[in-house]
Order: sequence, then structure tokens, then C-alpha cells
Amino acid sequence: MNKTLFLISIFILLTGCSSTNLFTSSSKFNIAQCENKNELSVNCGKAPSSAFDENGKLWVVYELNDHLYVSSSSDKGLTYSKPAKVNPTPELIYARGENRPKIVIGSKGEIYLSWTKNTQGRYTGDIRFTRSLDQGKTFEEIKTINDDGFLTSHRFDSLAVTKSGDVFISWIDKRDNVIAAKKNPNMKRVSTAAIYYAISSDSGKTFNANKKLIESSCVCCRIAMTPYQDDSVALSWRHVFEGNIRDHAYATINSKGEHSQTIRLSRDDWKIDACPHHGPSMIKDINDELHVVWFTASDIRKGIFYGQLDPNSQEPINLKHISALPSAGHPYIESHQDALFLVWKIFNGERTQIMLQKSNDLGVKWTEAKVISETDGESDHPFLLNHRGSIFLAWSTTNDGLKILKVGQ
Amino acid sequence: MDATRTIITQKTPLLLFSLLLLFLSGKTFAQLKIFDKNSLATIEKQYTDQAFILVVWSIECLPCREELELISNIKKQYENINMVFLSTDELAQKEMINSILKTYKLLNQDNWIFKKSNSPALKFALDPNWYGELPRSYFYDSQHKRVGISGKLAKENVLDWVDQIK
Repeated sequence: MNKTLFLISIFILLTGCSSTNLFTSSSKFNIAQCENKNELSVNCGKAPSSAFDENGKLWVVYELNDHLYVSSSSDKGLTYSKPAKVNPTPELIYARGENRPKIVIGSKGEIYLSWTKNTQGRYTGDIRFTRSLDQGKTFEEIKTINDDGFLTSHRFDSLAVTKSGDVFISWIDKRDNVIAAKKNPNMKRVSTAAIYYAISSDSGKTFNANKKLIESSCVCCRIAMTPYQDDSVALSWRHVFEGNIRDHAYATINSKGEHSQTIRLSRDDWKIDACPHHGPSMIKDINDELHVVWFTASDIRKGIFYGQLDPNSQEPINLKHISALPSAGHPYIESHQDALFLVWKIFNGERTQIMLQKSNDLGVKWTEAKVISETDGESDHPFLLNHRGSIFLAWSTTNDGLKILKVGQ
Repeated sequence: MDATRTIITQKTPLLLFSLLLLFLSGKTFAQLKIFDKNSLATIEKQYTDQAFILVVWSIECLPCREELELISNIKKQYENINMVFLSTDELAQKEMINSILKTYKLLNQDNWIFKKSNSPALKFALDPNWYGELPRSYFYDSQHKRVGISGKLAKENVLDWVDQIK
């Protein structure tokens, strides 16, 4: 009897453990230094985001073990300072793909950070903000920017600082769905959200009350937000138009909190009830004209597209099909004087590559696409940084860590 | 006999813990198989000469939840349909994955998970013509001719396919 029990216990031990062992492993970075899960390095942290300050110092924020850290580099990413911990108390932080911490440096060297805290429940979050006024030595007490008090989705934050110094945060927000469900508990689940924003006119010390830009945004794509004119921002996002059409739209918001009408950016007519996880990128040029790159997979066109926005039309000027490859994605655009720089990511069957195209006449003509970096490991989305007209690629890969690569000027 | 009793006594806490784990694993965790570059061939081999649906989903995809609910309900009605579920997340997100699978009573299904979250190489291995949007479903007939559909499935489409493969 006892022997039988013993055998059963061994069997249970083995079978019980075999099902739980599956969950003890987790993905590892390939580079040796990252094998230590506590390694504080921009090369090992999750979802690094970068920005240059006025003096050319590079600042990077990344997530590791429920903390954000900030490091700086005075040699364009060759070496980094000892990281500073941003949140003293650990909290779950969205840190991958389209939903990641943001960093923007003010004209006086202020370091502004925003991120989305993963709150209890599925697809829920709070928009968080802090700043450092002493070159990253200390960070101020963290603020929650969404002011509704609901446990719901406030996610996919975006951060920008205007020439006038106003700090803008925008995000995707589902508070209206909560309010509607309270009024009508039998209502059908709504699969769209709204875009909300908050503005600080005192360099991030305080923020005005939240305001709504528009309802019916897609729930899982990043918002592109860029400084516009002296005291405004321009935003572009994937909107859900009537008939479940997930095309892009844009609007501007000034520092008084007034926003323009929402304008449809393009007529792709992508009808789908799905999560593309594929938001746009937008930049203004020297003439305050806006240029956007985006992804669609509609019946009439598929892939990555570029266009200069035309407020008088629902089709952009100089519309260009950048890539039709199914693997092409996550484009990012930068500008300097008459030049536009555009990067995106493809997978060629063996390696992930970053492609670059440049226009020297604000989007009329473009150079041939060329590979500027590649990896045979996993990789993050590509980003472009602008320091006084020098354009850098910031791209994090498992094999090489965070690459900072000058791509033009 | 005494030696065996000693072992049993010494191992009792471990045994109880194992029993607890087994209880929990049976109720809460899915057997998530790791999807690498060769796994599609493994899945197709597993269902040789059989029709099946491959549902690709992610914890970050809200419409995917509605699709899982729909498929789960259809599975209740047609128990013999082969269904394979592939999450494009990774094991680090196992708690959320299990929670969602549990909600839709899919813990005991043929569940797979990307070796690396959202990997372009794995997306390519699954389907070089797929743009990455989720949910994505593949209807395989018994000859393994497949049709890929992006976006949330309509119940009628799934039932039409069920009729065809009968």
C-alpha cells in the first residue's frame, strides 16, 4: 500500500512539476551581459526610448523589473552613465512595442517622462508622469495624469513639449465606455476608445484637467504627437470610422487646450475588426507642414505609406507607397530643413533589416530604399532622433543591445 | 517497509505541494507548447489528413477575446472539430494568457505560444503573406489547403466551414 502511494506520489510529483516547469522559463537576451536579469543597462532594459538634449547628450529611459531607469551618454551611445531609478516603488509598466515609456528633453535640460502603469485587470492602465530638473539626479514625485478615478484603460501615452515650453500628454482612454456602461448595464461592449489629453503650462509642475479630443479611436495603436507651430501639437492616430474602417485621422491642439476639427488623413478604407498594433509617425517640417507615415492592409492598398497632410483633402499630397512587403512595419519619420528621413523594419526571410529612404525636397522625390542595419535576432521598433540636423537611428536588438547609428544630416 | 515509510514522511510536504501544483495546473494553467520556426510543420503533421482551425491571438488584442469566445462556443457545439490556438505573446505573459484561456474555457485545447513575443521570424514562418494583424485565423481542409482570414470571425463563416468539412 505504502509502496503504491510512494509510486503515485512520484508520478504526481513528476506530472505536477512538468506542467509548472513550463512557466519557470522566460525569454533571455542573447548578449552575455543581459543574462543577469538585474543588469542595469540600456542594452538589457525593455523598450528603451531616447532623446538628445540641446548639448548633444543622449538620454535613454528603459524598464527593468518594474522600475524605469534613465541613463545618459555624452558619446552618442558608446558609453552610458550609471542609471538613475525613476520610480522608487515598483509598479507594472507597459514596456513593449507600441506601448512604451517616453522621454522628451526640454530646452533648459528638463527631463520629462511619461509611461503607462499596468493597473489591476485586463487592458487597464494609468498614465504616469514625472520630471527631473537636475540632469537626472533626482525625479519628482510621480503623478497620475488621468483624473477620472476609474479602473479602466488609459494607455498608449504620448508626450511632447512645444517651443513655448508647454508639456502635452495624450493617450487612449476608455472612461466614456465605463460611464456609458453604468448608465446602461446591458449595453454591448464597445471596442473603441477616446483620445484624451492634458497640458502643463509650468514645465510639468501641474497639469490642467483632462480634455477629450475625439471618440472612436482604435484601442491598441500608438498616437503620433509632434510639436507644431510655437505652442501647439499635432496628433495622428488610427481612427475607427463608420463601418469599422480603421484609417488614420489628425488634429491639432494649442496650449490653451483648444483643438481643431478632426480631419481624415487618408482614404485607405481598411475595414477590419482587429488590432493592427500599428500606429503612425508624424513630423512637421520647416514650413510647419505635417508629414505622416502609416500602415494599412486594406483591399485597395497594403503596406507602408507616406504623405504630406492636406487639410483640404482626405488624401495626402505626394502619397507614396513605401513598401508592400507584408513584413514591413513600424515606420518612423524625422525632418531637418528640406530633408525628410524615413525608416522602417522588414524581415527578409532570414534577418530583420532597417530600411532608410531620404527625400531632399520635402517628400516629392525619394532616394532608393537601402538597408542601414540588420540583425538575425529579435528586435524592437526603429526610431529616429534629431540633434541639430544630425539624424540618428535608435534601434534595440537582442544581439547588439541599443544601437545609435548616424544615418544622415 | 520502514525505509519507504521514512521517505514518505520526509517527502510529505513536497508531495502535498506537488498535489497542490497538480491541482492548480489542472485548473488554471494551459499546456503551452512553444512555437518556433519548425512548429507549423509539427502542427500540420499532428493533423495529417484532418481539417482544423488555427486561431492566432494575443493578450494585447481586444477583438481576439471576442473571437476566442465565439470559437469556444462553437467548440462546445461541435466537440470533434480540431482547433489549435497560437498566442503571439511569450511565456513571460503566462498569467494573462492563462487567465484569458480560462475565461473562455480553452485551457485544455491545443495551445501554442510564440517563442519570442511578436517575432517577425515566427510571423514569417507562420505565413509570409500575413501583415501581422490580429486576430488571424487559418481554415485548413483535410488536404491542408488553407485560407487565412484577418479580423474577428463571423459565426456564420465558421459554421459554413464546419459544414464543408463534415
